[in-house]
Amino acid sequence: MEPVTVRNGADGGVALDGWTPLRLAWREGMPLVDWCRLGDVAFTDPFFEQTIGRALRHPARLLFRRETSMERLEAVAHERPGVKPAGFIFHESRCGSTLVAQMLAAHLDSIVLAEAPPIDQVLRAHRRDGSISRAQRIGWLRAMISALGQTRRGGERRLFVKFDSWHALELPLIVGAFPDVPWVFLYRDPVEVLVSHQRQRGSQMIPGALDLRAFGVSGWGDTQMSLDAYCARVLSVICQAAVNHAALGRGRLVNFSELPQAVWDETSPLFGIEWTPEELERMCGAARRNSKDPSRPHTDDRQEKQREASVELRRLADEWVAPSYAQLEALRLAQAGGTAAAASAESASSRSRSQSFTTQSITR
Amino acid sequence: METSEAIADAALPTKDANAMNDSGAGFGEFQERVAASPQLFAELAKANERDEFAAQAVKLGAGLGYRFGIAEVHAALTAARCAWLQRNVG
Repeated sequence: MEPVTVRNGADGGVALDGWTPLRLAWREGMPLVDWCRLGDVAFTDPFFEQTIGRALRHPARLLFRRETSMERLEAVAHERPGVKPAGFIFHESRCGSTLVAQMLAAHLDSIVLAEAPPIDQVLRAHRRDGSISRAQRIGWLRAMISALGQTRRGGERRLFVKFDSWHALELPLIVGAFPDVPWVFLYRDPVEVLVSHQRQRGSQMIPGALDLRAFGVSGWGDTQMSLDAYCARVLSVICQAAVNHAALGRGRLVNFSELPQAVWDETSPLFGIEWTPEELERMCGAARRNSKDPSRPHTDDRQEKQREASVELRRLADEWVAPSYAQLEALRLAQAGGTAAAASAESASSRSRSQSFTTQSITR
Repeated sequence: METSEAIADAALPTKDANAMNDSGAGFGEFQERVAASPQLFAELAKANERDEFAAQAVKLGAGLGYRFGIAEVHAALTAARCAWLQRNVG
């Protein structure tokens, strides 16, 4: 049972108030937008897919969906622009990005789109159909974020998008689509990231799950490359993309070791946000919980991951990821030094406010 | 005026109930109509559980002239669930 499909030319008058895009569905080689009436369901789960999965447990939402053309999506964005993005989060994966997203989502007036498949599908549409142009993807990306960034509870005024890790490779296109939106790139000690993926691999770390061309990793299938070796190469590609594009737009690099304090000390000023004491308390509360399973408390696992790393994993980290990690660190320190003087007066007052909410137990 | 009649009045006036009976419009057409009508959707969204939802859909559909049974609604729900779970396959 597929959603009700309204084809090109017939969907010009389709009213989509209260509808939210779930994904792109390809029909006969054409991308269509699969919409659902989400109502007041908010994106409060650690990942977009979890919220959608929860919403579709309801029979009416599951059954009464509709599909429209991409042109209709763009028209809807024109009619109802939605909440303007306040900030974008890029990341290496397994480096605190979900923590940052959950801290930002702790506020009722914030919408956080965390690794939303419809955004990924727009960004990778040209892999499916080579005739889809860069300009089309930019238009579709703007329209998709606009459609996803509609108010649902009333009163939402900030929109944050946490992209998938591999979208660091698309930074030029994304910054081109949203040149005024500030962004951060999060990264972490390579050994700890590799251990995390060894425990439970992300989809991008499984060869074939994503189009290999996206990463430019060659050799898989020709050699006896291990999964850990593949993972190290993918991390290297993502981190190197962040290095290469660090100067684009209004970007900032954040090391996992700076979390969660960096959210209010660095990220929030970058995103133009001045938190109230109540909002800071909410963020601290989110930081005390496990970001991917908020029912459990957060525990600092850095030493545990370092102990768990094998000699081979350390070798892979050194060979493939450490060089770009070192470059990211150098760029981050240069960024911090460059903005220190200009931001001193502003951050001094911000720090004095936030320090009262910073506990020793919240370290990443 | 009963609830279903009120909803029928509020829904899109694209299909006449008697004509639906004559043409034997079934669940697919009902699905299209509900997808296009916030009022009909809101009425059906009150049912959270499958059996309750199926019974409500049949009742509402019958009031609007659509012919389908509870089994068809369950089959449609199962098919929609399977399609969603397999959305990334292929």
